[in-house]
Amino acid sequence: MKRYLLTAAGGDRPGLVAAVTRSLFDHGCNLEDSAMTRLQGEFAILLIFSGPPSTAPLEKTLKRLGKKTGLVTHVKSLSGRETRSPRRAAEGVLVSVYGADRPGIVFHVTDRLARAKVNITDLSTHRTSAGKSAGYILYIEAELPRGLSPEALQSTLRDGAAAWGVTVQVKPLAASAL
Amino acid sequence: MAVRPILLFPDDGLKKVCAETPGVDGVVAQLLTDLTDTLYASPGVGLAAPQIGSLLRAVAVDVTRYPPRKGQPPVHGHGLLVLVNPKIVKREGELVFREGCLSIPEFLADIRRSAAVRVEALDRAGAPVAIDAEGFEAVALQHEMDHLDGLLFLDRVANLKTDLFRRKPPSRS
Repeated sequence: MKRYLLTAAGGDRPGLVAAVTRSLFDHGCNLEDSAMTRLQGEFAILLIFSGPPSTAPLEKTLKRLGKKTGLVTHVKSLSGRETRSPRRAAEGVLVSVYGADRPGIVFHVTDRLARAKVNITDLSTHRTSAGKSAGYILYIEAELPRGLSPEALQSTLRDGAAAWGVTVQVKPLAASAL
Repeated sequence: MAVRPILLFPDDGLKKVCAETPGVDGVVAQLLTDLTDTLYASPGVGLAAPQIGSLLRAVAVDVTRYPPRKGQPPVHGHGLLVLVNPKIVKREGELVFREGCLSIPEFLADIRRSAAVRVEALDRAGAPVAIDAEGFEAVALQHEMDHLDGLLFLDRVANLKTDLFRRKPPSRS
């Protein structure tokens, strides 16, 4: 069995996940990890599956599905190196950033993280509109390189936070206890 | 009776640390009345002074107003608690509760808090009181007291995948 990454996105409507996973099922594919979410009116799918050596028949089905639903899909073959699980990092952290919305918050924060060799594993942002002005909330889960403590990363980010007009906090990732 | 507007995220007023007040004088008493009036005019169970633009260390909580979730029975509690210079002097246990905030009306988050707290404070008349609260009431007190230090529930989120929820489905345009 070979492994693949499927990405798909399109206007949200009921039945998208069922349609995509039916296509995979019909072509003898097996779902592994996936993340799917709705952002405003768009639904996006990111999914790793294993399947037959050729995905041409599957891709034909997905194309037909796209014509019907507007879903844009892409199947990428994963190489041996890409299919290896990432090595365990020294420490996971949650970086929270919030404040008044302005262009560049995500760039400034993630640029600092990149320079510090911090590897982002999950990121979500939310724009709020209830207040007089728009607010921005950014949460990042990331792996710290060996030798970098959450406290050290926090002070690195705090330098910029005042200039960007945001509150930044770095804390060790809480393990779910359930 | 004065209902004041509630500051909304990302208002800077929500990030200020409030200073203790030496006692309850006429000015403070008026502010406490406004705080209570604004709470009862809102759909919430708690309000902190910074949320109505004051830097007084004061909170108003009444968890008997609404049940913690729609459809659940209302909880028992002390009724209206108006606390000045509140301090948590004892904590017990831990619980996770889905919290909202009048200042961040679009979101909810699952936040870990102490399950029971003892709070020492001054009451509306300026007399020292000690309140033992648990469950929903303990959560509400901790949430409102965080506001006095410029902290929002956004600061208490500990896990990206499980903690933050958009309260309402986004409206299609």
